[in-house]
Amino acid sequence: MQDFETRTDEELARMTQEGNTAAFGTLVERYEARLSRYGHKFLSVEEDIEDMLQEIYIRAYRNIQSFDTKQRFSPWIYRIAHNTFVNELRRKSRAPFFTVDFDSFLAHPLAAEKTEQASEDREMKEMVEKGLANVPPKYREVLILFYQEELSYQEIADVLQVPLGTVSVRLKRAKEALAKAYATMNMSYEF
Amino acid sequence: MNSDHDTSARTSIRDRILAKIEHNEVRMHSRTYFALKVSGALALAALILLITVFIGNFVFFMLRINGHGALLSLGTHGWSIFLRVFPWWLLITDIALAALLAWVVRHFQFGYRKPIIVVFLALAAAALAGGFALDEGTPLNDRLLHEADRGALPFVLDDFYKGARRAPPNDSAFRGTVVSVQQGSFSLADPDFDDVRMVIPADPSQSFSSVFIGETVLVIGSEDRGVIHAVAVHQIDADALPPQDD
Repeated sequence: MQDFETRTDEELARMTQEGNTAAFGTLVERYEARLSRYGHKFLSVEEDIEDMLQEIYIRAYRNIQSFDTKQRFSPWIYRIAHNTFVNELRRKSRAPFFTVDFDSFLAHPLAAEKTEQASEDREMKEMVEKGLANVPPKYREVLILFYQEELSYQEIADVLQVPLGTVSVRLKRAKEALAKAYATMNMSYEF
Repeated sequence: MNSDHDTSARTSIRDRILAKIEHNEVRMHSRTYFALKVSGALALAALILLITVFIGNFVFFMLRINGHGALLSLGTHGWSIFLRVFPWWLLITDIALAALLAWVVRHFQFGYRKPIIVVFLALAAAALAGGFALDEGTPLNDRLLHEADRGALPFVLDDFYKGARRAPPNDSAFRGTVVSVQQGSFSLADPDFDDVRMVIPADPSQSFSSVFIGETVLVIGSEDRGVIHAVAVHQIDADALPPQDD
């Protein structure tokens, strides 16, 4: 019996590439709750999310040889999840979703803040969760990836495939949208 | 209780995925598959880039061979003729191809990490700069033009190069070969009209000091009863005129 629990995601991905399917099973377990939570921001029906999770893992397994084990695994699988959920939303709504993203057209300066410090704040996470439902979907995703999934700016940029400056400006606008959401809920919070 | 439910659901999804893998319903793509995919995308990007550079080069070639670049030094009148004769459809096609290329390279990490407008402008500038260098620095276009005149080019290239020579707008510009030079005037054999016309300076106080027999020239001016009143005369490439049938 192999001990997979102590292995990193990247080690498990490498083992999967070498043909160890049990290692992939551990990755499935490890990411299920996180991806399910992420999926709830796109879809509301539980069965849909479960179907999409299955689709994400199937895509991940098919494409695992394209994963560079020197990189972090989580942005890679979040990229697959993002595409899968967005495609499903497009299919359901039969309308374009995030088709024109003017934020990624132009260069934006990076916000001068410590990303690690901000994302480690537990209270902040709870506050984000409370206001999330009242934030436009475009900004919701970046909040989830940053505050709840604790991805760095660069990792979020890789998941959404947008420039780093776009992540920065979108996060800034997301915080402004959160502040407005708090105001309607008679709450306030300083980021 | 809730935790037990979550655990069983988790196991269920994992088991379902692993069962599909075990029964070969889901197979992982090989490294070769991804290498081929990346190579294919790179080849596509390279092909689009080549076509973009080639079209950019062709725009510069058309301006050079027809002498239209000289129009830019003739003030507002020259500019207005230039805007009329410029091959806009080629430039628009080139810009559209640069946009397509920007979209293709966004599938690579180096593509999406820069704002799309920056990627697009860089590609468009590179295509035009490359096109200019290709036209100015190599004999490619001149050779292909001669091949087209011999009817030795394949279909698309043949159409391209045969269409490169453009007659100027006949109300403001004329081209031809100088067949005789007189005091204060010269005669121009104009293949577009298949006749010989006299050219005199629009300003009688000026004269043609550097016009020689046998030269191919572009004359800017207006025509009145068979006489061209020239504002400016520019020597252009002899290849600007279509080859004469024997």
